[in-house]
Amino acid sequence: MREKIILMLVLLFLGVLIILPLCVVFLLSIVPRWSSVFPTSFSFEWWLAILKPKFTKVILNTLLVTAVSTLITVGYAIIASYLFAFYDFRGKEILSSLILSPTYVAGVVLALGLLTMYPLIRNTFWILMLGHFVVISPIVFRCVLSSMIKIPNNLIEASYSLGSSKANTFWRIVLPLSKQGILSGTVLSIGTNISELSVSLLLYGAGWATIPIQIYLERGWGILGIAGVLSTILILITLTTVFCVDYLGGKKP
Amino acid sequence: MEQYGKYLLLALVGVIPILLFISPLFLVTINSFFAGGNFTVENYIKFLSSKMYLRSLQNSILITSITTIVIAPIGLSIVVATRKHEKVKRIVKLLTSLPLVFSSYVFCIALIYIYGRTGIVNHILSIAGLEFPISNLLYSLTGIIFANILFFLPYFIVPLFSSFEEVNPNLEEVAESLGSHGFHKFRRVIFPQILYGLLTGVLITFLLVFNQISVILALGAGRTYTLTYQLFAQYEGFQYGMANTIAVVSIAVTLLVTIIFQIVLKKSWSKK
Repeated sequence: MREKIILMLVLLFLGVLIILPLCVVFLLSIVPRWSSVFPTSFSFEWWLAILKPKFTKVILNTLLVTAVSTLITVGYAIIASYLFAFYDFRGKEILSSLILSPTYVAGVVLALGLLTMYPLIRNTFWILMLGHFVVISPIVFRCVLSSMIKIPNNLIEASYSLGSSKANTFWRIVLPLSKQGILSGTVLSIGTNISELSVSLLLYGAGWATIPIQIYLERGWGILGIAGVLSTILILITLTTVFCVDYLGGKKP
Repeated sequence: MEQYGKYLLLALVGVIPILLFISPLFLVTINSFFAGGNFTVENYIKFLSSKMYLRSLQNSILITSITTIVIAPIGLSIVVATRKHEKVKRIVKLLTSLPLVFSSYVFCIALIYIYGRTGIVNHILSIAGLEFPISNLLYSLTGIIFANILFFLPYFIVPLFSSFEEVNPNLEEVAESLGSHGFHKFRRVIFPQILYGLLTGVLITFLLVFNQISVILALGAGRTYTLTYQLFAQYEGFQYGMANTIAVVSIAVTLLVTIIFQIVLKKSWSKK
């Protein structure tokens, strides 16, 4: 009995702390003015305001950056994990900590570095994408590697001894067996790409604002309704990808 | 041919962190020592002699330390309380994995609407006829620490679950059959097994909180500066020399903390 009460308290604690803010974000987008405990009236004026070309461009920017960066990040993570899982070479430890360490450096510092090193592509889509890649590749790499490292080596050897080529083995054995890791890496990549703020804060140029940047700018101007709508869209995109990938991952080939 | 392919792969994988991570940071470090084309430590003297910069360093360390110190026991007790109940554990894992993919900036905006000046909590309090000094609390150092704790708690809990899953159940059973229960069992049998995971979690939380900027962007209100926010402000103000210096200081703190933790980790590992 006592245990049940403790468990309920833990769930209540986490629920209030984590779920409540997410609900409030959604409510913000449909409440014109909020000045009591519960909102008194609802309207979709903020949702209509979002249809202006200024905001649709921001949403398209975010989707484009997310798509390109996810593609490149996941590709790189697969190649790097393949190298780490099936080859031995000198300096393996050093290289893996090199790939993983951007997670533990401030996003603004990474962005400053990229701006110093590549001033020619300042204010373009490319530097924004590079910034996203640097921050997100460690997370995806860790995810893909953890599933690729579990592939039993004798499966690979069996494939070779039956005359299969390296490329064929990679395509037919390694990729399908690490599908779970690759899919969850993709979800993580999409989620972090969409909500990435610290790197893009320095890197976004004229015309390349993403949703989090726009939320930051809107809030600076004192308009919270638009920020609520954009945040809701952000959460919806993330949840949709999580469920889609979960569904795809659950399907047996 | 076999070797050739391996080195091609190695070069492809290795060149990317060198181009995008190591050499940019190296360049930033070099640049921080130059002003007007001459080698100088002027920027660092400016940093160390200015109250404003030292204040932001102090704020960063203070916020990060308190956040980490509060998160560790809360996270640990949540994991300990729920780890034996599969259903509850699944819900907790799901709940805590949500913030991992959500923007911390959005999260903070929601906090403003709940705990802020005209937020829900304040309205409830005013109905009850209470005048709680919560109104400005969220924008103070305390509020910033509070927001950090809420947002980074999941980052601590999720990996801790996996280190608890690695605890050898046989050892636990043996301890129980020998009459060790409750806190004694936890301290003598389980704790040594999770110590490494726990310390790693503390280090990662520290680094994540230290290096993030979103919470301070949302709640700092332009008054509270941390190191990352100061860097952003200096860059926006075209003070590139100072921005470089702040970047180097931030990397130095990160490295220092990591090295100290590595030493502690090695000690705790060799004890085991």
